[in-house]
Amino acid sequence: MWRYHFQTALKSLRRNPWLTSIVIATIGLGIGVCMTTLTVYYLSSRDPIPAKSDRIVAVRLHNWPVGESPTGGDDPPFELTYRDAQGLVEQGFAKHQAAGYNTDLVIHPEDEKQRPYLTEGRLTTPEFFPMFDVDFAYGAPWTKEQERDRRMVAVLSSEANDKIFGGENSVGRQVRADDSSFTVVGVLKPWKPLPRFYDVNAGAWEETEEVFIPLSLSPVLEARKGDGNTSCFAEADGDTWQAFLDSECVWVQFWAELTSPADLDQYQSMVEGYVASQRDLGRFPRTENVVLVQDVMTYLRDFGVVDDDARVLLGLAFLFLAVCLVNVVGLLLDKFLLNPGELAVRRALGARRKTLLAQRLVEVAILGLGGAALGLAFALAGLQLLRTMNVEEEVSHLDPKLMLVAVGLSVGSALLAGLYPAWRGSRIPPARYLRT
Amino acid sequence: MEIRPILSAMMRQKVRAILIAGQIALTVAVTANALFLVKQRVDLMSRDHGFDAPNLIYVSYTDLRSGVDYFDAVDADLRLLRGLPGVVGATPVGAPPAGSGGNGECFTTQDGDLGTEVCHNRNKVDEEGLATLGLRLVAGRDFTREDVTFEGRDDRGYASRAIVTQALADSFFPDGDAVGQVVYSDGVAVTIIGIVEHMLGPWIHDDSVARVMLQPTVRQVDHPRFMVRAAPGERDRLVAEIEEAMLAATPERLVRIRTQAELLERVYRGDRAMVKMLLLVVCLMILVTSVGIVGLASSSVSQRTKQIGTRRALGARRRDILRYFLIESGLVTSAGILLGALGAIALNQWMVQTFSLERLDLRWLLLAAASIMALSLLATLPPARRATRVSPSVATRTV
Repeated sequence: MWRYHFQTALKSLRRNPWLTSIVIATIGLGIGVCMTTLTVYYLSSRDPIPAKSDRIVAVRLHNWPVGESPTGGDDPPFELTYRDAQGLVEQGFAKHQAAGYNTDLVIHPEDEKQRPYLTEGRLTTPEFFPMFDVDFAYGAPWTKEQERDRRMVAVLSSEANDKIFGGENSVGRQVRADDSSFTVVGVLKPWKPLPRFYDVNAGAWEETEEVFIPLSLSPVLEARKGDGNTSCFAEADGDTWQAFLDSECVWVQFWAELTSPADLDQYQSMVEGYVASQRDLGRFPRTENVVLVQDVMTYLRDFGVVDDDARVLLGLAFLFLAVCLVNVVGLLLDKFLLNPGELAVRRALGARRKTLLAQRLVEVAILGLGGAALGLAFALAGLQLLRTMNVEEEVSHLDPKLMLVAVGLSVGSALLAGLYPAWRGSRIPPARYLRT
Repeated sequence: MEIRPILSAMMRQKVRAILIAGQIALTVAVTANALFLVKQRVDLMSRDHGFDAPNLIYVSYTDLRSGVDYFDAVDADLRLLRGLPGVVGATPVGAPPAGSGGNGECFTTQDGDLGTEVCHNRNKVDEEGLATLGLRLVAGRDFTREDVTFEGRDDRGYASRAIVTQALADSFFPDGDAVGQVVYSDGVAVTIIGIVEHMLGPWIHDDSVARVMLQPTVRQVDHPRFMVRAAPGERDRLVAEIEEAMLAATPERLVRIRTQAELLERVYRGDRAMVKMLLLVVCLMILVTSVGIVGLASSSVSQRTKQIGTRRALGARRRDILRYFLIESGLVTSAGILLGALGAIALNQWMVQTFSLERLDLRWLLLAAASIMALSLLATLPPARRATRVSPSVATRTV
C-alpha cells in the first residue's frame, strides 16, 4: 500500500513540475533561513561542560557601595576582587575551586630561529584542571604546595606544546615566557570549551590560553590582566601592584564544583559566612543581594553570551517559516482541489477517504523531504554568508544534530501545511472531475 | 465599482483569501519592524565619529628587551613616527578610539561625591593628541608640552587637566560654562581646560559613547600604543612603512598595526551582519508572499474563466475585467495590511519588552504597507491580464 502511495505521489508531483518546485523551494527557503539562525543561536547557547554544568558554580560577591554596581543593574559584579577569589580558594568550601585571570605573555621558543610570539596565558589555581575535566597528555597539574610556594611551573596547552616543543613530552623542560623561565609540569590534550565559559569577560569565543601558571605568582610576576574588564569603585591604596591586588577592584574569575546541585544552598551559606568575616574588616557595605551563586548556564545567560541579535533573528526566521508554510497551504489547496487527477477516479471507484488522505500526506511528506534537502543547502550557504561577515566559525558551522532537526522540522511543517489541503482533497466530489 | 459581487465571489474561495491575507499580515508586521531595525543600525554605523577615521593608524608593540626606560622608548618612537614622510601627527594613546577597550569612570561636579554625577570614557594623549585624532577645539585651549604628565605602571594618579567633548561638558555643566570648572572623583580634582566638538569613545554601543575626557598623560603599560594620522591617500603605504621603520630602529619587539577603519569594521561587524540578515529575510519574505499573491490571482482567474467569458459576452470591457481582479486583490491585501499593522505593533511591543529596543517609528509601518500594496497589485497584473484575454465565446460552452 505505502509503496503504491509513494509511486503515485511521485507521479502526481511530476505531473506538475512547476508547482512542485515552487512548493519545495518555498519550504526550502523557510527551512534554510530557520536553520541558519537556529544554528547561530544553538551553538552560542550550548552547554560547554554538559556533564557538570549544573554543579559547577560561579560565585558573585557584591562588595560595591549601596546603589552602585558595574553590571549596569544592581546585581553583584560578574568577577571578584583578587583577595576574595584567593580567600575563597583558601577556604575550600567546595569539592574543587579555582580562581584565575587571563594575561598576555611573550613566549620565547627554544629554537632560536623562531621569533618570540605574543599569546594568552592564564594564572589560576591547580584545581582548575580536575574541576573542568581537562585531560592531560603528559604530566599533571601543579600541586597545592607548588601553588602555595609560588613555584615557577607551567602547564602548556596542546597547541603551545606543538609550537614550542614540536609535540614531544616536555614535562621537566623549561619554557621562557616574558622575562621568566618556567618548568613544564603538564601538557594538556586539545581542549577548547565553547563558549569559553570560565572567562567570558575576556571573550566567549576566543582560543583557550596556551600557558597556565600558578595564580600565587601574580604578586611576584606583576602579571597584568590581558583581555577583559577591571571595574573599581575606589582607587587602590597605593602606587604598587600589590596595592591593586589588595584593592576593591573586581577582575578575577572564581568557579567552584559542588558534589551535587543540591548542595547549592549550603554552599551559598558558607560563602555568606566568609562575607560576614570580611565585614569585620569594614568591607561589604551592602546587606541585600550580596552573594549570588550561579551554575554555568545561569551565569552565561546573565552575562549575555547569546546576543539579542541572534534571538531577534531567530524569532523573525520562524515568522518567515510561517509565511512560507501559509504559502504552501495555498499552493497545495490549488493542486489538490483544482487538479485532483486520478484521485477523483479512485474516489469514484470506491477508494476510501482515509486512503486518499494517506496518499496526499505521503505526497506532502515527499515535498517536506525535498524542502529539507534544499533547506540544508540554503543553510550551508547562509552560514557561509555569515562567515564572510566575520561571524565566528564557532557558532556558524552546520551541526549534525541540527541537520536532523532540519529534516524533522521540514517534514513536520510540510505535513502541518498539507494536512488541511489533503483533508479537503480527500473529500472532493468526484463527479465534477469525471465529465469530459 | 461593485464591491459586493467581488466579495461574494471571494466567499467561494474564502480559505485561499484568508490565507493570503494572513501571509500579507505577517509580512507587513515583520517588514516594518525589520526595516526599522535596519535603519537604526545604519544610523549607528554612519554616525560622525568625530576623529579622522579614514586616515588614522593604530600602532602598538611589545618590547622584548628588559630594563629599558619606558618613557625614553616612547619618546624615541614618537620622534620616529612623526619623522616619517606622509605622517601628519602621532600621539601616544591610552586606547585606540572605538577599539572596545579603555577606561570608563564617573566624576561629580563637587568634591566628596556631591553635585551632578556623570559617567564617561577617559583616554590619554599628549600635546599632539587633538591634532592627530583630528578633533576640533571649540572652547578653551589645547594641551601643551608642559601639561603632559608621566605615570608609572601602578600609579593611581590623574593629570590635573582635561579636555572634554561638548557632550560631556554639557552633561556636567548644562549652562555652558564648563571651561575652567573642576570635576571630582574619589579625592581627585581635574580642571576642564578645553572642549572639543565631538568624539566617540571606545565602547561604540554604550550610552556614554559621546562623553569622552582626554587627559595629557603618557602611562606605562605592557604594550605601548600610538595613533598616527596619515596625510590623505598615504595611509596604506604608511602601514607597511611604519612596521619596517619601527623594527629597523628596535628589532627586539613585536609590532602590531591596524588601521582605524579595520578597528571600526570589527566593532560594527555584528551590526553589519544583522543588517544583511534582516534585509535578506525581508526580501525572501516579500518574494514568497508575492508568489502567493500571484498564485491566488491565477487560481481565481482559472476558476472563473467561464464567468469572465459570460461577463465579456454581456458587454464587460477588458479593463472592467482587469479592474475586477485588481480590486479583489486590493481588498485581500488591505485586509492583510490592517491585520499586519496590528501585528507590527504587537511584535514591536514584544521586542521593546524583551530586548529593550526602541518603539517602532510608524513611518516604517506606512512604508512597509505601501510597498506591499504596490507589490500586490503588480503581482496581480499578469494573471489579471490573462483574464482579460478570455474570449466571450467561452460563455457559450458548457463544461
